[in-house]
Amino acid sequence: MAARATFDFFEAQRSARRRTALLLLYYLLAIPGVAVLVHLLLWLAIDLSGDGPVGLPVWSPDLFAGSLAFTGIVVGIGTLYHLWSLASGGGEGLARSLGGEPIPLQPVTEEDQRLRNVVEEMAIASGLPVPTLYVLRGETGINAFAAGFAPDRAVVAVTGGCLTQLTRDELQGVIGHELSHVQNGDMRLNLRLLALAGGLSALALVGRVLLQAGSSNDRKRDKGGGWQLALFGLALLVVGIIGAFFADLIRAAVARQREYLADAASAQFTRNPAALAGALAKIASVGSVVSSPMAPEASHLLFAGGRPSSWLDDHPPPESRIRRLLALGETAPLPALVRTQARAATTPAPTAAAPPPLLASLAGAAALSPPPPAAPPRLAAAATLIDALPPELAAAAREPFGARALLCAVLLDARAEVRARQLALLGPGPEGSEVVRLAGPLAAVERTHRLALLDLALPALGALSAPQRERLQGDLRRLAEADGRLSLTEWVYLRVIARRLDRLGTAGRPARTLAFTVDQVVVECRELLGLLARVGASDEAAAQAALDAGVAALGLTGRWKLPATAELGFDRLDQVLSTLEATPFKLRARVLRACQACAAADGAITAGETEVLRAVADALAVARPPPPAG
Amino acid sequence: MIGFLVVVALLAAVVVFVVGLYNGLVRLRNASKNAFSQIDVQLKRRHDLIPNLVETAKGYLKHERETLEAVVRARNLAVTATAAAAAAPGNPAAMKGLAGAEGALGASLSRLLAVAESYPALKADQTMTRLMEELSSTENRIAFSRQAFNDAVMAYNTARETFPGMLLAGSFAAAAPFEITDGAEREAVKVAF
Repeated sequence: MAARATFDFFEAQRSARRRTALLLLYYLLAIPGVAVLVHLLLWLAIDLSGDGPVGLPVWSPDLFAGSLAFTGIVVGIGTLYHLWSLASGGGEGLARSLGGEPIPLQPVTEEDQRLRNVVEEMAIASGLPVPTLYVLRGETGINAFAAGFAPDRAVVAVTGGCLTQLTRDELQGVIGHELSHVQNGDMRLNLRLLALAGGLSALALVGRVLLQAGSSNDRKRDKGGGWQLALFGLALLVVGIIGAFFADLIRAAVARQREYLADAASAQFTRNPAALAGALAKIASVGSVVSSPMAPEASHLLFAGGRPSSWLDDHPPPESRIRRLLALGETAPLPALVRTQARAATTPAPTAAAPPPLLASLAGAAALSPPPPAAPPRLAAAATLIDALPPELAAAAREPFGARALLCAVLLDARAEVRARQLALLGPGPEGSEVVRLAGPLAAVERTHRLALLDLALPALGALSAPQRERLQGDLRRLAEADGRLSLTEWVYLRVIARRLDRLGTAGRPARTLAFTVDQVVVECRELLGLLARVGASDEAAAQAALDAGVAALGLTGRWKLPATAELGFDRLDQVLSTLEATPFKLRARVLRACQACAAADGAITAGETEVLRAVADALAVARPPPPAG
Repeated sequence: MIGFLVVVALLAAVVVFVVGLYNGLVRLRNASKNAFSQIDVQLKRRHDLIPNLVETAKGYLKHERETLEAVVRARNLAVTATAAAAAAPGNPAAMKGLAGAEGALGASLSRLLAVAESYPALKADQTMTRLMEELSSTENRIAFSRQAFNDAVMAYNTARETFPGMLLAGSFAAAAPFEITDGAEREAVKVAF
């Protein structure tokens, strides 16, 4: 089934519903289809036995009515039996059997309160009653399920991993997804489809009984007739098994459509499809395993499939879900636009309102830094750079004590009161006075050249012991946060220094992730490119153009929606870089090239962009290609 | 005889159809009314939360008396506007007044939170973190209930304007969605520190 481009989440829901209806039509055709097969089998059996009227035509209404009734009764009884056995227990029983613990109406911990709030918010957005809430505390994977046959008896359960690993927005997306299952009655639908597949396999059961009866008849009485019965039983067995197999295939296809439907509905409720995509991307790296022994029973209900996906799976591949969600974000209808603008516009700062740090530094980077002169080839650039540095700085950078002071001096703030606080942090010792001494010449160094100073200083730090390195990192962080916030530049410095110091030490290899293709990291790429686009651009249109250039350089088509500034926190950036860090080299190089294309989209690479590129290149352990000429 | 039966059957079908149409429209209208009362519930939740928030913040924000007073004032105005709008749901003028008052409240809250940003002791206060989570949840609930109300109004208006429904449109008044008119309100309260 080729994925048709979906334009908005209402359209995406309509499309998923249409496909479900088509699949259900196929499903209902299963019973007459099987009846036709039974009819043919009966005719063959009668014809071969020679008992019946000679020359019975293949088509006889009586025989067909008989086979239809036979099939209907067997499948009907089988279906009813399965309905009865599957429906016992209900949602709460299932949640408890998986080790769920109910969340009270007045939760004790902040984590639980947040979960309850998010669920109540989504209940409002979807117009459903608030479901009973469970948490599978011991499960560290990210997963969730909704169960229950009616909206007012629904149960929603999430794993402990959801609470600890997901942001509030991502949790909201997951819960919205689950509530859509409740709203659309997906559990009931799935139960009916399962029961019908079970009913078809009842046909196989009857076939086996007939086969056994026929063959024992044969042996006991040594009379003709038994073998036809056995043959008929065998054929029935095969029909039943094949029928049940295809029924399960269609059921899985329906379940996959319902997942897309729930994703689209979640986007309608939260108007934030990127957050749900983020949750799915986290699942790709953290995993969605539910370790309870009862988990296989509930696998069709879970938010994310436990197995690698295939056409027998109830869940579509996560990359495809993420791609569709991001496509939804791209041209969201009006209400969503209003809300993203609302988020992005939190800070046209009146005197009292302090803008969030990242946005402030983005604005600063765009406004303050003039585009640097066209970069000369690399080697010459490096030579002139070192020449241009004041000699006392270059000298300090070459020995451990001076290098340490230099790192601190780079973080000194221009504002007097913040600087006083920073110097107080350093204390009155020789270190403090060295930092003050270096700060004077450092002020004359251009912003883009400061990173080069860091490069010079880092080798000297190899002489530090591990505890000294740790203390230095702590000092630097405190200096950077002395004014109560972290600017983008400060974050880049800290990040680059931390990476280098870790490499000097014995930090373990980065965690392995399972991302091998660019599709698996589109969420990360979007946030990273979005940040770069916003750093260098003065307005939304320019930022969008830069993002588009980055996407093209990634080798992807289509337009991505520019992430809102509120989405881009430093913690999130750290996670994004850690995820990308663990991907294969070729992919990392591709991401870096895209970053560069994104930064250069407006024809100039600003100081802010240089810094971010530097941090990205450093994190990805890819040497930065020389900047494009001009 | 058969002709008579056919006529009776046709008449019965028409009656069933009209009754179904009428009930469908009533159901949609009630759904939108219910959705409005949801907004109301959430606005009330915000109003109830504010005295606690101000009380907790007061101890730390001794020099920000004006900001705190502005929040309390805006809250009291919003309470009045909510009562007026609840008396006449769907009335455009009342809706507009409510949107304006809530917008002003949102703006004053966001100023308070911006001020709170520069008081680390306040951010560390546990009661305050709880209140912040409650407040951000309430802001979400208000947004979501508005969204649900507007979706319900859209469904109702579409049903009464499109073909079979328009036959009965005379007895059903159009409903007004909850529109955000005030620029300040668009600046959703930013609760993250």
